[in-house]
Amino acid sequence: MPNNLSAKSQPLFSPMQKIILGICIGALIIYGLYLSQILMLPFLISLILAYLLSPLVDRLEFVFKKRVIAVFVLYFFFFGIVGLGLMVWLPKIINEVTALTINAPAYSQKIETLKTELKTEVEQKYPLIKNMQGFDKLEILTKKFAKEFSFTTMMISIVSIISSISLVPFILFIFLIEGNEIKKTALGLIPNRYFEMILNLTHKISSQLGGYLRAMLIESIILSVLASLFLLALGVDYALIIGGLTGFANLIPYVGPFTAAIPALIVFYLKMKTFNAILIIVAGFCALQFIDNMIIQPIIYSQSIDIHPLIVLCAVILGGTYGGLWGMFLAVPMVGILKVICKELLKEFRFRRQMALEADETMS
Amino acid sequence: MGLDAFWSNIFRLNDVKDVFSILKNIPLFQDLKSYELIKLSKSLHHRSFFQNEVIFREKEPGAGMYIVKSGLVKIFIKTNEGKEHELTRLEKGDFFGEISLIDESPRSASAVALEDTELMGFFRADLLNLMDRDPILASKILMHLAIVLGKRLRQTNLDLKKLQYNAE
Repeated sequence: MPNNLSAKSQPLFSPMQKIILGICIGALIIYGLYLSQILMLPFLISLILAYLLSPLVDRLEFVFKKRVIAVFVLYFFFFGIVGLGLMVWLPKIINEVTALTINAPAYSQKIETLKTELKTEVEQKYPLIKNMQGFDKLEILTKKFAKEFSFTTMMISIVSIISSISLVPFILFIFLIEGNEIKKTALGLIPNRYFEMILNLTHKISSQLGGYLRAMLIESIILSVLASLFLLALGVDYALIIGGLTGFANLIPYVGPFTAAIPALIVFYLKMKTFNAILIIVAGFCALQFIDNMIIQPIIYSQSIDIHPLIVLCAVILGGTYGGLWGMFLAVPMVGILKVICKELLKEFRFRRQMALEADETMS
Repeated sequence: MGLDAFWSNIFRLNDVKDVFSILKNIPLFQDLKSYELIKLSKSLHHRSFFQNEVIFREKEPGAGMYIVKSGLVKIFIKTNEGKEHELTRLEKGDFFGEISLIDESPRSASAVALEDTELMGFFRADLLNLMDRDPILASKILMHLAIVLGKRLRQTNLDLKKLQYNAE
C-alpha cells in the first residue's frame, strides 16, 4: 500500500494537533451546553418525541410525498386529539388535583395518628421492638425513601417538564423535518477513517433507542389505562391521577411499580379503614405487574434492548445514586447504547488487530 | 497546501445536475423517476479522499457502496505473499462495494484513491431508512441490486465452468 502523500494534499494538522483541537472543541461544547442548560430539557423532550414520532412521520411522508405536509398533518391530528381529550378529561383531572391539594394535610394528619396508634400497640405487645427502637429506625428509612420517591417529588418533576413544553412543539417541528439532514451534516464532520464505523453505530443506536422509547410509551399508556380502570372500579379517590402515575412510575424498573401502589394504598385504606382494602390494592397491583411482565412486555419489547436483568438492576441502582429519578429512568436506555457501542468497537478492534497481525506476518 | 479530508467534508458544495446525470447511469438506480432520484440524492453522503487515501480495506466490515463523482479509484487485493494485485480502476460514474448494502460481511477487496477523489456513499443504514420512508423506492433499488448480483453470479458460474473445462 503506497504511503506517500502528494505535496498538494498534505494534512493541515498533525494527529497530535487534531487530538488537542478535538479536546478543546469538546470542552467548549460542554461549556456551551452548561451555559444553555435551560434549553436542555426542551431539547431532550423534543429529541425523545422525535424518536417516538419519526416512524409515524415516515409512513405519512410515504402517503403525502412531502415530509413537511406529513408533519403538519401529524400536528393537526395530535393537537386535535389532545385538545379533545383535554376538553373531556381536564375538568375531572383539575377537580382531583384540587381535592388532593386540599385534603393532603388531612391525609398527613391521619397517617401520623395511625402510625402513633400502631407504634403504641406493637411496642406494648412486643417490648423487644421497643428496646431495639425498631419503629424509629423504620421511620428514618421510610422518610428517606419517601423523600426520594415521594408523590410530591414526582409531581414536581412533572411540573418542571410541563413548564418547558412551550418550546417543544417548535424544536420538535425542526427535528421531524430536518432530523435526517442534521444527522447527515453531523456525520459529514467525521474523518473518512472512522466514518463507516460511526455511521453504523449511529444507525444501530437510533434503531434500538427509538424502539425502546416507543415500547416504553406504549407500555406506560396501557398500564395507566388498566390501573385507572381498576381504581375507578374500586371507587378509589383520585383514580385518574394515581392511574396515570402508575404508568409513569413503571418506567423505573423494580422501584416504580411499588412507588405507584403506595398512594393508592394510603387513599383507599383511609377511605375504607379495613385491612381488606390494603389486600385488594396489593392484589390488584400485583395482578397489573403480572399482566405487564407476562403479557405486555414480551409483546412490546420483543425487538428492544436485550440486557441481562442483573445488569438492569445494577444500572438502575447506579442511575438512582448519581442521577436521582432521571438517572433511574435513563439507566436502561443508556446501558443499551453502551452495549451497542462496545459491540461495534470490539468488531473494529478485532479487524484492526487482524490487519496488524497480517502486516507482521508479511514483514517477517 | 490543500485542505485535508477533515475540512473538505464541511465546506462541500453539491452539484445537483452532475449528481443526477451520474445516478441515472448507475444500474441500481435506472428506471427511477426524477422525484425518486431527488429523494435518493438526499440520502447520499458526499466524501472527499485525497491522493493515496484508503477508502476501505479488504476484510473490513462493509457499510455500503460508493459512486465515483470525480477522480480515480483503484480496487486491489493482497496476495498470500503480501503483494498488491490490482483488479480494476474506476472513474467518474462507476460504482463499487454494492454487496455491502445487503449485510456486514467483510469487504472482498481494498479501495484506494489514486488522485484527489470525490465519492458519493449510499450505505445500508440509508437503505434501511429509505425502506421506512419510501418502501416502493427501496424495493426498486433492491430489485435492481438483485439483478446486478444475479448477473455477476451467472458470469462467475460461467468462468468457473471454463476453468474446470480447461483444467480437464
